[in-house]
Amino acid sequence: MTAETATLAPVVSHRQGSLFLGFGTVFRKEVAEWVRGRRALIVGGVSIAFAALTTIIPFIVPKDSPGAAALSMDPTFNVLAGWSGLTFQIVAVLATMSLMSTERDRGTLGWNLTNPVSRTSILAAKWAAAMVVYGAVGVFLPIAISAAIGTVVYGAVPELGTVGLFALLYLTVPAFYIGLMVALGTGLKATAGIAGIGFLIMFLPSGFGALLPIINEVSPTSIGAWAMAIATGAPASVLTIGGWIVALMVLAVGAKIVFDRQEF
Amino acid sequence: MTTAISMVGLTKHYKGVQALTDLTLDVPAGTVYGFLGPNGAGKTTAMKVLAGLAKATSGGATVNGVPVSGGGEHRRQLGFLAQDPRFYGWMTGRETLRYVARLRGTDTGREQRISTLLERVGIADAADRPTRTYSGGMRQRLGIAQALVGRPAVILLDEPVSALDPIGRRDVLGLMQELKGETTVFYSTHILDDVERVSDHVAILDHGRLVKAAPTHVLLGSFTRNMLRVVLGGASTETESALRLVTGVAAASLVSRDGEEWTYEVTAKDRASAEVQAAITRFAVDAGLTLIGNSEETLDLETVFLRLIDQKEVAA
Repeated sequence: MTAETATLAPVVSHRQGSLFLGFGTVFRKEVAEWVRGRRALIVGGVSIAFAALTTIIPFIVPKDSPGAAALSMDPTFNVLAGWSGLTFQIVAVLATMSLMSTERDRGTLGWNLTNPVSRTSILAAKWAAAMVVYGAVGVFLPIAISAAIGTVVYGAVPELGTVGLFALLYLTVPAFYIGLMVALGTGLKATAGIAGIGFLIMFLPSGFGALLPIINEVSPTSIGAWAMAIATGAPASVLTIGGWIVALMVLAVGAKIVFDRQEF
Repeated sequence: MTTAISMVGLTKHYKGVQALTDLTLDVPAGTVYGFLGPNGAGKTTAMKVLAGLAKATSGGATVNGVPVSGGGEHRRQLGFLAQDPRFYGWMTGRETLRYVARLRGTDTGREQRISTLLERVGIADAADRPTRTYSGGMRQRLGIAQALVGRPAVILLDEPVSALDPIGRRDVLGLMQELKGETTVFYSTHILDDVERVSDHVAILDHGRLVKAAPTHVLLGSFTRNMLRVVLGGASTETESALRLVTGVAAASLVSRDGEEWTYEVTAKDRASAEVQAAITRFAVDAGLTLIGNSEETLDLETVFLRLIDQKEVAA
């Protein structure tokens, strides 16, 4: 037989580079899955409820209760109060821990890869879609609603510049945790294992940080506190954002190397 | 002849398992090519390598001239149906095809193409239902539609009818026949009847090695081209030796006797079976026998397959 090439079907022209082949289509599919699978609704509901509750705590605490006098009635302070804890980080882990494992279990990861889609596109689209949806319903919407509630209950508009800057900088938190979940999902099959390691990474640096403060400073898990510090004008270490950038790069490169080697 | 798929020295090791060994095979464009072998022969592995789901340990392949690589570019040239196709349960059948069409850059006439394919594979009525409500057969049909939606030069079908009921099997085999000339169909199966019905070429794989590749009629004829089946009425025990003396006959042996009907297997010296047939007819007339049958021996694919595999086992 000759090596002449068949021409029964035309070769479709390439629209994107190989590295991000099919990214746009997979991204749209991912966003649709977040919305139609009600995950966005659950993340939004939980985040809004928690943000609203932490905003109004000083308002609803009886004035004669112990410690009530120490509570601030500053709307800006109260809108941001709930965001310094781990609740939103835990929500980010829980909402994204199965991004890869579910696809692997149901066989659609392999099916996607029989189409003109690069593996990098699948990872990037999952991360980007989760960031867009989580950023909208898990960060911006709860903060906007909290600001509105704070305005009503405390009788003054919060400092919108501070709140807006914080919302923007706080996106670094889901960026890290979603990246972590996607990266772990390339190598681990069990969702529980992915979540377990995620929580370990969330809590471990703060434990060691008590002994050696530099660990806290360079750990990407401190990025939420860094965002708060920058937004409120408090001192913030450049090592934290540096550690976050390095961590994201390691996650991206590691996930690509592991995923590229896998067979389906 | 143009080549749709070319595999050169394709070898695949898994941990402790040699799944493919030096597989070299060209699949002519526009054919329905059956990839045949017992379970564990390496058919699915070869398909996965072509689809880019697994990497060859050594060797290479091209699909419609595009090298198979991890980048995914070659997948523009092919549609793939897995053995047990899975889709997003929250998408409808129509949305599934739309998703694949977008991945394949099919914009012009996309909706019309999708509707036509849904009709063609017989799931138009269920097109707007979520695929989680589909039966295994419906998923298989949707899988064929999604393999075709981008008008690929090649479609790879891994055991396309193994999960189907008899009606679904007939429909899908009919569809595969319709696709002849429209695209190249390379499909794996262990159902020999299907290969004989729809394939114009066949390759037989066993223990990861290519045993034989040929046009189906050539393969079937390769075992029988010198063989005749002769049925004589009124023969006797001497007829067998008399047949051996007929011009052009190399060997003759009695196969069975049913009353007055004596059946012989006659081997011609060369490929001149037509001349031998004529000589046997004259022999029967001269000997006063009734010539009931005098035709070329035909073997079904199952017999050929088993003979090939058995030969290989013996050689090994």
